[in-house]
Amino acid sequence: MPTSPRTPAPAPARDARSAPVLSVKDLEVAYRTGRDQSVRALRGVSFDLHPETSLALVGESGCGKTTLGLALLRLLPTLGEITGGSITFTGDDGRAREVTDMTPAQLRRWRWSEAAMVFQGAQNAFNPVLTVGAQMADTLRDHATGRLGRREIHERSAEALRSVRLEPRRVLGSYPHELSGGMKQRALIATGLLMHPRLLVLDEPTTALDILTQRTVIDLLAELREEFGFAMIFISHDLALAAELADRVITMYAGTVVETGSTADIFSSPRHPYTSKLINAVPPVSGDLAELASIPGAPPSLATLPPGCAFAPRCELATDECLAAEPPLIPLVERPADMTHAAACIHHDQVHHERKVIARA
Amino acid sequence: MPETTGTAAPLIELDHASQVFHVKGEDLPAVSEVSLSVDQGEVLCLVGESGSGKTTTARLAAGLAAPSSGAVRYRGRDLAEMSRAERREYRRAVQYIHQDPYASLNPIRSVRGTLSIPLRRHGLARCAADVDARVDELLSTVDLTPPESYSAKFPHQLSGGQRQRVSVARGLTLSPKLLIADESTSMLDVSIRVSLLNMFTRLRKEDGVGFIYITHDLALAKYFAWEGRTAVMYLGRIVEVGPTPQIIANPQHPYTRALLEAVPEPDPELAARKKAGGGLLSAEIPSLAALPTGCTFHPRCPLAEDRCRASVPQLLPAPGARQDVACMVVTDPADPAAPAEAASGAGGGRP
Repeated sequence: MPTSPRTPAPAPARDARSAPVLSVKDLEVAYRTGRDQSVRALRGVSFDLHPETSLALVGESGCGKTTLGLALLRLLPTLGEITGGSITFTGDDGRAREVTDMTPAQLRRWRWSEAAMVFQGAQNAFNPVLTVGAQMADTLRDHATGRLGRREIHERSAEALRSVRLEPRRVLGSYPHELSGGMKQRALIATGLLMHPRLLVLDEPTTALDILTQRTVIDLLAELREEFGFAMIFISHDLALAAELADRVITMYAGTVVETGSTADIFSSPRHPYTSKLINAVPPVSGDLAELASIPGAPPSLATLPPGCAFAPRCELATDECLAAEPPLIPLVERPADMTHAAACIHHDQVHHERKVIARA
Repeated sequence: MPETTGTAAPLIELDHASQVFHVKGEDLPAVSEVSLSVDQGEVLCLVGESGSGKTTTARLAAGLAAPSSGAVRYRGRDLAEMSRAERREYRRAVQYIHQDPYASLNPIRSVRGTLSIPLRRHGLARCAADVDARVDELLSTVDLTPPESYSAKFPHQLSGGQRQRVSVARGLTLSPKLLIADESTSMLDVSIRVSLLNMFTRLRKEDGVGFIYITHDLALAKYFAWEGRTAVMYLGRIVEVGPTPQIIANPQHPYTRALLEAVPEPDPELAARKKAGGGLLSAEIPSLAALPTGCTFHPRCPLAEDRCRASVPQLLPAPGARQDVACMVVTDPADPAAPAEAASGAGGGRP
């Protein structure tokens, strides 16, 4: 019985390691809003995710982060539809598979065993009338290949709970309301890790958690990634989480990628004004007191996107040129493994990122 | 600025206020012996994790609950002894802004409806034209402009940030002297959060509104209450209180230090320097129904000594610091080596 964590397998996995786990090309998603009407929720999203790396998707509510996360696992709500592009997943065996072409049966086997999602809202993601153990067993029964005995289900659930530092005896028989917020979030992560997936997508894993609980979840995710070696995509409106956990950041705005780069590049010199403003809206606790500025206005409605650059109406650098056409991602600093720093802003050289100090510590 | 307003009674004062809830035959001491005060134009941050009693403390200050013992005073008058007229004035002056903009607005009332009710009830608007003028003014104050495009809207037509602004506008209808804002588990976008805080600061500086701001994030306390004070609460007691810059730069209580170390930093270099786990021995806060003996923090405390299990520490001035702290190990070091260690621990997380 495989109770040990994923160990680096020999030959076939070596090829798998060099290929991206996930390769997204020109992904388009639309939500139907009425008869013959729809809004484009994702517009031409492309990125590669390499094994054992972590990617943060950041942006305000309504920028398409969650839609992208759901689309990657083909979990879009019924009104949502992938209308173009491709999602290629490469498994441990090094075989590339097209997620957008998978049949329901293939999806069922692929999800959770190779790619899992931890949904937003730890407080409500579990069914309140079933024990945590029953829900973990459901996941295993639904997604595992072959039939699992009761004993094996118990052992795999217990192992997953132990990996997130929870006491299986206490948690398996508990109903969700009997657990604290932090324990529920960890139990959800354990459910995601039940089958040692290669890719874990987490939607706002720390939102609405206490600061101490946030810290335990952040530290836990960092440890689990070392231990199991999965690739991780997490969705967050809080840039601090990206700084803590991500190797790489993608800023989304109005359903498209406006900046991408390594975490170090993005935080030291963001080149899209939106990213710069997002960073400056999060207060650092260390050091001098820095001024925080909100971003005026709100993200545009996807149904009525402004002409040209979608961020232009909120941007102080905007010129007539910005309204003429939507700027493409412009590569700025070449880096290996899809870490190239690129920004979709024609004024990227005018973005001078700094925090304004208003009082010395 | 704190403690410089002379001899007049503070706007709001909690004097050894306690709140015990009785649940299923058990006594839950949600707030124990909390004393604090806020004056005009001052800001006090209440910081702590869920279950630390910060929301209950704020509810006591707002008069939404009466203390089991101790007193809450508004301008020196005990709430329990107020006449109807005094009570009415207090109700006008102290407003509570709830944390969840999705639950705190009546879904079947338009923005104008929501804002006009307190105006009419307190006789601040006599006719429809008065109401309209005041509603427009309030909406402009909270940056919902132009006001006419918002006043007829219903909550479901507004975004989370816009709803929160309506919530704030409702809190402002009666020109309050003190606003109590509960943001402890706010799920608002970072940009909206910042614009609210900047708006609060404007109200505080321009109109002299006093603030009690509730959060679990010391980075927000640092930003919003830099010119004021921060009180850190743990299991119903204030464990450290003082000027915010001192609390942030030179924390004395091990719990405050853990809270500081836990804050995620929006900077990868700073984030990498954070110590894992915040130095706490346990991640879970004990239940109020089974409080640990002595200092209730001792089961999680990296500095705990035998005496911490025996007696409850008092809030005392911390040696060499400008804040009060309820920790015997800090205020009354038995071992001469202890304070040095505490001081170096306090500076350890900071560059």
